[in-house]
Amino acid sequence: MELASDRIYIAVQLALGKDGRERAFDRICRVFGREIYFYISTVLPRHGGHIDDCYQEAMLRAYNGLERFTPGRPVRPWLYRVAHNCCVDFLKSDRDEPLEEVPALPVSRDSGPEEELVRRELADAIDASIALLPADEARIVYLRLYGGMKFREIADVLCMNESTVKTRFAAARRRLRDDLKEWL
Amino acid sequence: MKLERIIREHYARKIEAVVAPAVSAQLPRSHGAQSFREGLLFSMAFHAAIAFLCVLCLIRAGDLSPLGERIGKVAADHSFDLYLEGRIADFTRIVQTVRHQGK
Repeated sequence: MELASDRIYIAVQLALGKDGRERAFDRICRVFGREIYFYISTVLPRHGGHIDDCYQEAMLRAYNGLERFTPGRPVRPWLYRVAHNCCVDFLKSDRDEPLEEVPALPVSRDSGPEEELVRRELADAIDASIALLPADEARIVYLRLYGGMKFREIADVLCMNESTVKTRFAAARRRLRDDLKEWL
Repeated sequence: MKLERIIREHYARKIEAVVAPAVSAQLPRSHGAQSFREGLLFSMAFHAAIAFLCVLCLIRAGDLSPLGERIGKVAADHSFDLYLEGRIADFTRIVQTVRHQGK
């Protein structure tokens, strides 16, 4: 997750010019790489073979975009916006690949078999519930609950009205709460 | 809030398990060296700040001669350790300050 020290480091490096941009990009990859990759995989669930391509394209655009990036601006919303636009461009190009199987979550070594079974059932229930959400609502849930982004920032990433984001998040939250009530 | 927490934890586990092997191969490889450099710089800055505070204490403690001598000796030892570890460049100046305060 992004820390204040990461924000300060990136802002300082971007102010230093070309060499600083390399270091800022290095830090951006380390801090945000995984969650951006995961986000792309949720937007392109049927294009497993091209998630890597889309991720690399997104990070390349981010690297090129750093030249115009204002130091001190929040990086996360901007990066998600770049990744989301990359996914939209990819979907528009209408590539079609067979579904790639997503590997199952590994067994946790710290928990016993009963806890592991409960954890897997909960994970399956959450996956099933999120899969039933409309795509926009699922993305809003991810950006809000995992990304920790404000509604305004989510609206900027997804090119939506802020009030629309709030409404859809509330609707998604209600559905999730109903589906997962036995776990709460 | 429990709903938010379980969903957040679910995504965190999923990212670690599903994404980590794919992305780790693509991450820049210099992060280990960079973290070490940053840690070393922070450590040097921290110890330099400690040494600076010791010098300030010496200057102030010079008014109380026996205490000044004791503080001067502790600061000199500390400064000597820092010097040995290569974290203070101007050890000579500090020692002279200590000796002057101890008189």
